[in-house]
Amino acid sequence: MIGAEWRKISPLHQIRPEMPPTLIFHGDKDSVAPFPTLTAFCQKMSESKNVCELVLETGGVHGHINNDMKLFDNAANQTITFLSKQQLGTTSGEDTLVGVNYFAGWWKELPNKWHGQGWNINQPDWRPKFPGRVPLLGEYNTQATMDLEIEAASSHGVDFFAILYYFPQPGARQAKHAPMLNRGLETFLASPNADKMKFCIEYCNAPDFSARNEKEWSDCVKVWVAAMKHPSYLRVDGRLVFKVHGISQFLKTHNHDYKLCRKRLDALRNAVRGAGLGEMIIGVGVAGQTPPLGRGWPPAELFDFTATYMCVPDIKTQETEYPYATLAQQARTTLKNRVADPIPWMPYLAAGWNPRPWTYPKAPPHYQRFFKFPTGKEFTDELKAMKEALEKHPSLGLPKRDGTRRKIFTIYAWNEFGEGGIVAPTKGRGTMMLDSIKHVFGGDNR
Amino acid sequence: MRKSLHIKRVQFGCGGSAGGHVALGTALFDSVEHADEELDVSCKPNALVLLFSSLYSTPHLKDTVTR
Repeated sequence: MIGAEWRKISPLHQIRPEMPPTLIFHGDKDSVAPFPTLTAFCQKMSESKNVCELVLETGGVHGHINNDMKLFDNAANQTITFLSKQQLGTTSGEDTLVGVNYFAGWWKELPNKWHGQGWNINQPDWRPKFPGRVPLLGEYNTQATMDLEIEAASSHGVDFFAILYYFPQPGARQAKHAPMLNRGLETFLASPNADKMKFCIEYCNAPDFSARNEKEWSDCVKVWVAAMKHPSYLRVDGRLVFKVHGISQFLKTHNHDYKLCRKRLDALRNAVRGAGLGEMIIGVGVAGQTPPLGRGWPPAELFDFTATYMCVPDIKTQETEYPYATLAQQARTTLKNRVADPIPWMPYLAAGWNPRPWTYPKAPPHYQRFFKFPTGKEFTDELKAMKEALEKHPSLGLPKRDGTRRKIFTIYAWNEFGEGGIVAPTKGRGTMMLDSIKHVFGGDNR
Repeated sequence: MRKSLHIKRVQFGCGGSAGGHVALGTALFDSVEHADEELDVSCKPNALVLLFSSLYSTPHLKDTVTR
């Protein structure tokens, strides 16, 4: 039946360069499609410079994946990761990706952040004074809260949460708070709704939460790589997106030694490669007031992009509230300053800034400036302006391998209930902020 | 039916056992086409996922994976 032309339909004999990237699941005890052929196949694939990844199951027989639910689930996840790395799934144009910063600062144990800036448990709970800020989907970062939040965000056009990660630096004043601050990441990873949207990690490298040496950095890397194995980890053009919160502190922690900075970042990139997760794009936070960066901005050697978490305008401190427009204007000015930078910038939009519950007499100036929360129309207008800006300026967004950008931005923030950056539904404003996002960017999560 | 096809390229091919052989065939067997095959649309996938697949053929049917 096959006869003399059998070689034509023998994959082993037809392997050539430029074959599609291939992922193989196989058991070494497979007697139907025997293991020695597999070895020869993989070797020929690599000789022809084809991408060929093998997941070999020791003791696995023919059909091994079908007979074991755990193997099947693992294979499904590995397949998603593999396909994500191959630049697939970007067929129908590229909609703008909408991200919202996630700050898991809300635990029940005292002292907590519902009790004043100083975390002084003698200060009263501020929720009764600011009922409008109380979140509707859960007042503490529990699993139930996260499950509902993913549901709400994903059904209103939010594509990903940029989740703040805090390193529990040994001996630091806030060391015991770090694990609680990381409940955002933990509950996302454990959520049955996690497949509804994406997430990425923003390493919040404030002094108390910075990894200061090789050991601490490698402790962080372990946690991050484990999270990046999740199929919902955000990728742009197949590459994992990761951000270091602030450039100044990152340089300071590493004594402004660029070689050391590079060594740390390379250790992360290599760990990610070693885990079979492919390549990363690593960004770093720059302050919104930073003037346009010159050609030779040194950190551009270290990072793939810059981003801004939030920027409070440098204006006179005063008791009365400025209009939201003043806050929005700062984001627009920042965007203009970044357009010609020598490194891509991921824009931000402010959902609000009003740290009234957290301010105190000698607070730093940015904690003594307050802005009215946006109306639905004001926020919608800013979202529309962002959409237009991303279309108008091809230099904005995250870098793709062909030199173009992926349209993407972040909103400050999902749940900064104390500082006043609030997209999450609240008793005061319901789903108003989410409705604006849905209106401008659509509710169909890809 | 044909007009409703907007696919420019198959996203990825996946198959188990003999199905993996078929998936590989879409990427490899250029000289093997059905008489009615729609050749305007390439069947070459962008990626392959092979589950315990048959990876070679021999001249003898009895040696070839048939399951």
